[in-house]
Amino acid sequence: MKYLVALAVLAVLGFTGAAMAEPISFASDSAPVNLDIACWVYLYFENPEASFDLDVEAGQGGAEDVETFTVGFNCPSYLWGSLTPPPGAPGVWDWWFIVPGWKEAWTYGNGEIGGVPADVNVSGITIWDAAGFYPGGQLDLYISCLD
Amino acid sequence: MRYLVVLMALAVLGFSGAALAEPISRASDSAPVNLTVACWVDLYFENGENADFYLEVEALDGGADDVEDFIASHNCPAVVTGLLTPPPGAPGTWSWRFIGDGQQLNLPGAGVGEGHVKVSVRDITINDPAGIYPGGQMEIFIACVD
Repeated sequence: MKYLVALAVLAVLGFTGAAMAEPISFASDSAPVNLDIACWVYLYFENPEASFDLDVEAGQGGAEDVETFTVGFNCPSYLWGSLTPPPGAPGVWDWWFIVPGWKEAWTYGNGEIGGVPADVNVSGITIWDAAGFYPGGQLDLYISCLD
Repeated sequence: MRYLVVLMALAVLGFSGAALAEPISRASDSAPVNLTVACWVDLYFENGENADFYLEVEALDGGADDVEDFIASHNCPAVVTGLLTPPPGAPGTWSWRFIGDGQQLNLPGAGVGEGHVKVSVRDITINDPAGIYPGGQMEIFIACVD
């Protein structure tokens, strides 16, 4: 019995000593890394002084003017616009962008496109429409993420 | 003569008895005592399982950063460094650093300290598709210098 106790004590001391002397000379930890890129769109007329100035010459029934714009998008998006003719202006007003007749468009993928045309036109002007300058109209273009 | 022999025998036994009875009431010995403290380092993100570098690139911004704090413990001179694996397929230019200390921390002596890891991405443009790019990893390491 005496030897058994001594042996046990030695064993405990031995193991304890071994545990304390064991080096932990390296450690590490890690954390996930994630990237979230928000949807980003923009649209602007390339000429900062952009203005649709429609001059109806004598003998002409209408006129049109074109401005170009740039559109950028990093996600699927939707483009559209809205034309407000000059208050009190005569004639039949219309507009389009990209190609004649388009008033809305969808983008896919991502990137920037410049030189996109936007056209405002008026027709149906007759001799009965008073000559003069009719200011105050506006063409608004919009782009919105579809997400 | 017979009595003389007996007397001598008794004398010898008596002296021997006196020698055996002398007390030994103190004794000593010594042995060296040594301590070996093994090199011991530890390193972990303070947020534990919730540690996460989540970089959000807002519209109009070309990049983003995120910072996580960590605790480094060492009982010996140690060096801390790291390794960044960007999310697979993620755009931009990626980098990381310990705030104020580049990509290597030299820790002298022993102690417990807090550090900060910043992960950054730059050069995100409109040509980089919006979305979530998961799967990257930031690993930090500590090692004894001994």
